[in-house]
Amino acid sequence: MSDRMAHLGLWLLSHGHNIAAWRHPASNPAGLTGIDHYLDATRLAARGKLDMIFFEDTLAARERNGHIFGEVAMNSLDPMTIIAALSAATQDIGLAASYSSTYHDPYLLASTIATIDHLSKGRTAWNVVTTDASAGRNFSEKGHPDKDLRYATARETIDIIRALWNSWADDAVIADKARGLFYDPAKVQALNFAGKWNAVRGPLNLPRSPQGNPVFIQAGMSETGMDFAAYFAEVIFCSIPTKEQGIAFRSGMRERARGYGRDPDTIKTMPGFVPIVASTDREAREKEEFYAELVHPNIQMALLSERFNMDMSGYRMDAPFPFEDVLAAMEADTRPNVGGDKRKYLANILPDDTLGSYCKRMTRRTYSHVHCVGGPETIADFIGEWVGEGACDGFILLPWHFPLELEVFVNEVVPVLQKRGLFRNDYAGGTMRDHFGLPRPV
Amino acid sequence: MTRKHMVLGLSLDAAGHHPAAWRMPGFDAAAATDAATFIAQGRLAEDAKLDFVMAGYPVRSSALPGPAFSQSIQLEPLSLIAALMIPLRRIGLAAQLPMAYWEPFNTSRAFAALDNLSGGRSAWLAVPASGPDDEANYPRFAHQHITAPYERAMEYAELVRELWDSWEDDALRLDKENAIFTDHEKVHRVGHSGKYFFSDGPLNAPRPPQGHPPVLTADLSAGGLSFAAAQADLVLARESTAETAKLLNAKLGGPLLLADLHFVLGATDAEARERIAELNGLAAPEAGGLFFAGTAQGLADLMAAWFSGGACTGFNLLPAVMPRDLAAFAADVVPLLRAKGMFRTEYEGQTLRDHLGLARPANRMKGAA
Repeated sequence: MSDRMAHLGLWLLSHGHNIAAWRHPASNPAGLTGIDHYLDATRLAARGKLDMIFFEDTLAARERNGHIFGEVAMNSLDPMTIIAALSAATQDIGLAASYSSTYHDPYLLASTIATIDHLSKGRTAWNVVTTDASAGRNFSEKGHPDKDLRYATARETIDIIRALWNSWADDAVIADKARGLFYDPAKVQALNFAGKWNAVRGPLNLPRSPQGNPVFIQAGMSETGMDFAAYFAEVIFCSIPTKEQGIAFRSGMRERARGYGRDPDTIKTMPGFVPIVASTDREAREKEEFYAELVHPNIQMALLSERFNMDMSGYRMDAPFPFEDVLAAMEADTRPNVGGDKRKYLANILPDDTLGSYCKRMTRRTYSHVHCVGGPETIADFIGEWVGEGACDGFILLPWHFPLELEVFVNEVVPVLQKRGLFRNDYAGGTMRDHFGLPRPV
Repeated sequence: MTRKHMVLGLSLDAAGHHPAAWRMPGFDAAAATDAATFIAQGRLAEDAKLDFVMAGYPVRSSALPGPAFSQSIQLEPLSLIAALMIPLRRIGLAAQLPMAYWEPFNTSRAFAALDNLSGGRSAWLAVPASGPDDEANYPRFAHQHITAPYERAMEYAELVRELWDSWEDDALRLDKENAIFTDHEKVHRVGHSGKYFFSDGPLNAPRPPQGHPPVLTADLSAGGLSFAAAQADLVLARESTAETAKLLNAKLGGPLLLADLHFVLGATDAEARERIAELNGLAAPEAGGLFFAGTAQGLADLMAAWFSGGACTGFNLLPAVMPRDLAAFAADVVPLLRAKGMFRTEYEGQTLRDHLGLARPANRMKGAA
């Protein structure tokens, strides 16, 4: 039994985090372009008292062999537009969107996120991403800025955006009708920010938002990314395979935050987590099998083509794994960091692997995020153990199907967590900062 | 084409479009940032079967207009309009997004999202040129040293459309059996490499249900008008007489002209005059445009005369005090327009293009390699 409560977020991604979720008999893929799919899932998550929903952001279509990756569901639609649409139609639950600091100007970013914080009455978070290299070709013939430059400009962007959010005092709006003063000019200040890359005069054309500053999320796990996160992020979305690594990561991030003069309790680590839940442990294992079968051989092949940057469709599934060809394609691959760490995938090939057996094993779980398969008690044990032992402050749930697997989690796991005192029975406050116990910045 | 019905849009503003509106009794400052304020206005507009509501008009710079104005609060228009798509299920949703400081790829993507999510109800109020105040807040804009904004805006709008067209209408196959979500042969690179912009594409969103969301502009400069002729579906014009509006309308060519209409309504002319005198005594309204103070009958007659006289295809409504003048318009003016056979009683189609009677553009990339 732990005296610590878990925080739970939900990454809302198309029909679910199983790569073939859209093929599930219960799926209605045509609904993925309409707002109701996202509204229903968000309301379901709010019924489960989750801290937040979260959306990813990409600035290029997902591709393999120079074509769109048509075997998988389309990319998320613009995430800020989605959370803006949800802002006035949902209650309680936090709304987090990823958005690129590299390809948006700080003033409009500040204004957009503060607007959504106003409209949602203090439930907004921004996951700061600097965007992967595939975006470059959609914005400039000069290509994508390198990582150090992206992080350096992102840090300056954070400074500007914070200054813009703080350019109105909380009590600046006086609406003095008799004197005709809508705001007190002494309480709204220009910033005249002149940085290395950006110059912004300000002030923002919006009063300070309900949370003061909407919550900052960050997801980089490289050395640069971790240092960047420690500088400003309040929630860290991470990928942690084991409890021991979770303990090390969390204490490391808390230490780094302290290094920036921050209270370590204002930085929360939230690993991604795939819960595969059924009424019993056995049924959960059967469910895992069912989802593995959903991953059609065409999807398996396309995934391989994406990872190794070669067209795999000409190979026979029952032939030995074409190690030499794949190695050659990898050597020729100039895409920076597309498809993850390719050498890691190759290391997983077993001596007697056919292409088919490798594909099936590899695509059974497409995430490096931690999985737990079992009944509600088993899942609750897992969450309780990780949070109780300081491996994390909670999890970002990656259910394999929306709404089915989210429903199971909300209906069966959340009550167990609540009974054990591991999760809130109800929202204690109205803002996302309230849910995470984060102070409102002065 | 002779139209039976006029087009009616509503420009949202928390307090109303008169600069002294916020000083009227009943306005609470908290309403200025409360979604409920705009949902209530949108509901009045939707119940009256208006064509669209719009956020971000009149176009203002990002510099604060001074402490006397509630318009110092400018909720970001695209986010505000997105927040209305769930409470309002039929009416069109127009949002300003300036071209000076957002990348074309992002603009194309944002409106593809707004249009898809809302079932084809979005419109883009494009602002081709921005002023020096904005330059001070938008470094990307400043760095580009925009010397020929309209030439740049033309290329910008073309690229936005190319990206919308990068997915064919039937690119989503959704074939579960054979595991084909998207037909990759129906998604195309745009390969845009122009004087101002570069983008390879494709967009990472399906083509908007409307093909291209309708484009609005409000820039009546020479450059703005030639931009509008090539790119706009609707032009918002600040004309104070039917004669000048008619001249402009004839000059526009393709796009439909909507006349800005500021109004104060009263049960009698005297009451309306009293109200406008009180408002004007507190703050002078912005110059330019059609201002009306009088009864519902007077306003309906004026609108009918402009519409049937060929001065405009419709109006962009700017009620002086919200929600009072909007509610009076919906309750009293709309029935009079209907009695004249000049405005719809029900929505007939689903998309904003349907409401506006605008054809859906063909996809220029269809069948491309």
